[in-house]
Amino acid sequence: MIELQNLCKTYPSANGGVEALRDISLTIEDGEIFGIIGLSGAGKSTLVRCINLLERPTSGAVVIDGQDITRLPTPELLKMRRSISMIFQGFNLLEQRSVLRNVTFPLEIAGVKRGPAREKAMGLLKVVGLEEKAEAFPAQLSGGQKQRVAIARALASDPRYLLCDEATSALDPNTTRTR
Amino acid sequence: MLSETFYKLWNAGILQRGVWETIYMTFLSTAISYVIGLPLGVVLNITDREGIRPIRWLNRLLGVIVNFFRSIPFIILMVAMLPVAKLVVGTSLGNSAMIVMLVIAASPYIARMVESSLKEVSAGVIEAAQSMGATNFQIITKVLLPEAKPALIMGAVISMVTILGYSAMSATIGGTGLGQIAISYGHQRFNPDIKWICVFLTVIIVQIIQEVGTAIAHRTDKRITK
Repeated sequence: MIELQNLCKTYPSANGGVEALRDISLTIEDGEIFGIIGLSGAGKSTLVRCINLLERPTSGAVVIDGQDITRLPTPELLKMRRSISMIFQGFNLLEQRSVLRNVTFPLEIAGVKRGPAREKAMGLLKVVGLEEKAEAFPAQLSGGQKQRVAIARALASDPRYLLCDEATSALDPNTTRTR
Repeated sequence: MLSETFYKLWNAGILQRGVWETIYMTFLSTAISYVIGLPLGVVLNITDREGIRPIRWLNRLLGVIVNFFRSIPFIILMVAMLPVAKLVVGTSLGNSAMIVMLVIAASPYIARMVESSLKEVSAGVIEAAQSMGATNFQIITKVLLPEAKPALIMGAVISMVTILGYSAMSATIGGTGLGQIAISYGHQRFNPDIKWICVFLTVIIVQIIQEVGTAIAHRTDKRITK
């Protein structure tokens, strides 16, 4: 369960600061698909980025499975982040790594051995329909293909939670369908 | 005339020795300078305000030290650092002493080169690694350095050519190599032919370093689609 309690985020600026989030409280149950909609610049991305603390809220609590992660010491926060995957608006793939090694990347960080990591990654590439692109590099892929790699990468660590910032904006109707 | 001088020097083995000494000094100095400059550049990058581990005072301190050494013209730095060379290698003469000077001059330069290469790694990719729970050390070894590899190699080529230039200057205080041949055989004995031969050989060495370096950088860069 993810609970946001009285979340505020203010970016400092010359004339007093920009208020991106003002007193946001919400609860997301396990298994729930929770969408956030709003106008461009409304602060949707900021809100999502506060959930894994890529963005530190100015005040308020981010409670995940009963734990306020804003109070966690760094090593615990890093461990917690491994169970929360994120799919970015701009894909953010590693340009110098092959598709396969992009997908194994989160496993590498978590200390999973090469063999099992590769196996797992190949399985996920099959799911997103890019198994024959395993040895290709991001620069050789189309936008939609890059996004599918990003999705496979996000799923590689078997996350409890998936944060998606416009996760399917570059996909066609065929690949957008969730199964 | 020129070719006559060339063969005379070549048969005496002077040119081969000069080329070898220049290459030896350049490569060894570059290697040692990277041992110092690469970690220094990484620290400068990550402790920056926009880095992954901002530490203001450390960044400022290292920045001031790097700028200090970079602002001294090499010819002056060389003379000023003679006692340091004596302290490190036990002598202020010869090529080992010159290598100490070259390292002192090149390390800060390389640190800046590395720092700016790492800056080109997109913030988004670093964030992606952070979102996966990567430690800062993992981000340095698995994201920053590998992603910046082509830029780092190009930087190494530029640094090496600069160091080669410096190594020629070190001839004025006892360094050897093509610079020394140009100065003592060419300049001081009024033999412009020898000077031009040295210039020509230096140009060839620089061209080879540049071409090979660029080729390696291109080959390793996976952003280039073939």
